[in-house]
Amino acid sequence: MSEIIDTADVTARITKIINNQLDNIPEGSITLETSFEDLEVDSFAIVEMIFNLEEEFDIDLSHGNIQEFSTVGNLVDELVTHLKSPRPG
Amino acid sequence: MTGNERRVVITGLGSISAVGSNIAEAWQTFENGGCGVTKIDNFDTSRLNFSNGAQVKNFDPEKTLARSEVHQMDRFSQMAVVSAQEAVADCGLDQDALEGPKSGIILGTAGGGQMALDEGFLRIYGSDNSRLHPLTIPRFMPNAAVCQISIKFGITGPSFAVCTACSSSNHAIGQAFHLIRSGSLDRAITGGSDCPFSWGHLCAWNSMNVVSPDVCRPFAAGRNGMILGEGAGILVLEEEDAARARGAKIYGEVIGFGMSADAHHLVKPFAEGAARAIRFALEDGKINADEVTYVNAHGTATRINDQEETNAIRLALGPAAEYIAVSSTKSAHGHGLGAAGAIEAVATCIALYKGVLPATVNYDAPDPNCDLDIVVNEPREAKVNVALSNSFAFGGLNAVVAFRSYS
Repeated sequence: MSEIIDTADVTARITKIINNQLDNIPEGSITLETSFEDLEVDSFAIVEMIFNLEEEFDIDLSHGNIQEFSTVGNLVDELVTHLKSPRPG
Repeated sequence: MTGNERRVVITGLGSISAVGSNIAEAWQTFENGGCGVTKIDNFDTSRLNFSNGAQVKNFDPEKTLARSEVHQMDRFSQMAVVSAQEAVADCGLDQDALEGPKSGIILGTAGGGQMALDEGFLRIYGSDNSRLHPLTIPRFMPNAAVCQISIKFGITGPSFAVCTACSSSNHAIGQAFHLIRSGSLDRAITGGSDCPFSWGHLCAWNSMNVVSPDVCRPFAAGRNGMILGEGAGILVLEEEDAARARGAKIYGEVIGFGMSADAHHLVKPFAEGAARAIRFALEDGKINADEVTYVNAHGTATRINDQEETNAIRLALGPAAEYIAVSSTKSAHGHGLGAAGAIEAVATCIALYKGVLPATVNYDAPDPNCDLDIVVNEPREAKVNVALSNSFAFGGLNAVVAFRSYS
């Protein structure tokens, strides 16, 4: 059975994760064009963000190129692609 | 003391424990003879032999720290940093002094961030989920509280954590004192913190059969074990001339520090070893036994500790021991483990600064084996000259800090 992936829902959940993790981001200021460089997210913060995404979406992102996104939009695309791909087991 | 030896004074205090979420509250509890022991409320204790603890209720680190800072820390670091904020504000040091090369941080802890570790273990073994939070290690590491305070206040001088179980904070305070006295530091944030109320830790203490099923009654006939406590105590120590020059409030002076190892038994207290640490503290501070007015005892309320500590105080202080007031404030704030010496230094400061000896509360009846002048149930007013604070850890690592009232 294929899951229906709602991109708007994924975007909202990712935005919430970023807002929760980085408490200096004004509410509502994150868009699909926002870059992680502008958010001053360091590599360890990315590691933590991936953990939070794995928890939120119950997925394993340890393989693949999920760490190479540059904007929130890229991340949403990567995640939607990941969520659409067949899960093992 | 030679005329040119640097002296070390206490200019700032901060604390969080079951007796108060700041110094004012803690001192008020000591002045009222109050007790912070309550039912443990974060776990169902029906499978344990004890149900009481000295927990900090309603601790909200986000009152003074950003959410992103709190998130990086285990509870033991949160309490240390919040107490350090109180102590730094209290001491009035400016940012330039704090950032100077001779400012350091030395803290004690026994368990470090073991709540973060326990949470991780629960996932691995309880939920078969090997994905752990990436901050598990930096939250757990026992030096984490030192690092967080360094980052928070921009402190760049010698800084480290000390881990000697229940003597950790006294070892930390003693190291800070010696480093300032020797000139390696001009000022230090010292003390310690511990938060033992994780399920794994509670079960481990339960299995030792040393925790009281009701309350902590040190030196009393009816004593039946310790009560676990959590919290932090932070002292700002400074070289005396600098503190005086800036007109700092001075709570008291640290004048001596003694350490010893029992080389005896992993958990059994040993009077001779403890007495050696007391003697070394007197020697270090060039203190005569008859100058000692008050001892804040290790006083865990196990049968053997309090008896051995009574013997140790007599061995080290001789005939003067008969006239020295002794109390164990663990009866009120529980056994803070690696934070014990720090929370007890805060209790000792009320004796130094306000002439109020905090009481051994919950005391039911005298034990002939613990027949010192115990301050029982109500605080006692006294003119304090020298006060000692004892910490004797599992494994026989002993540390005694000597203080003097400052005038």
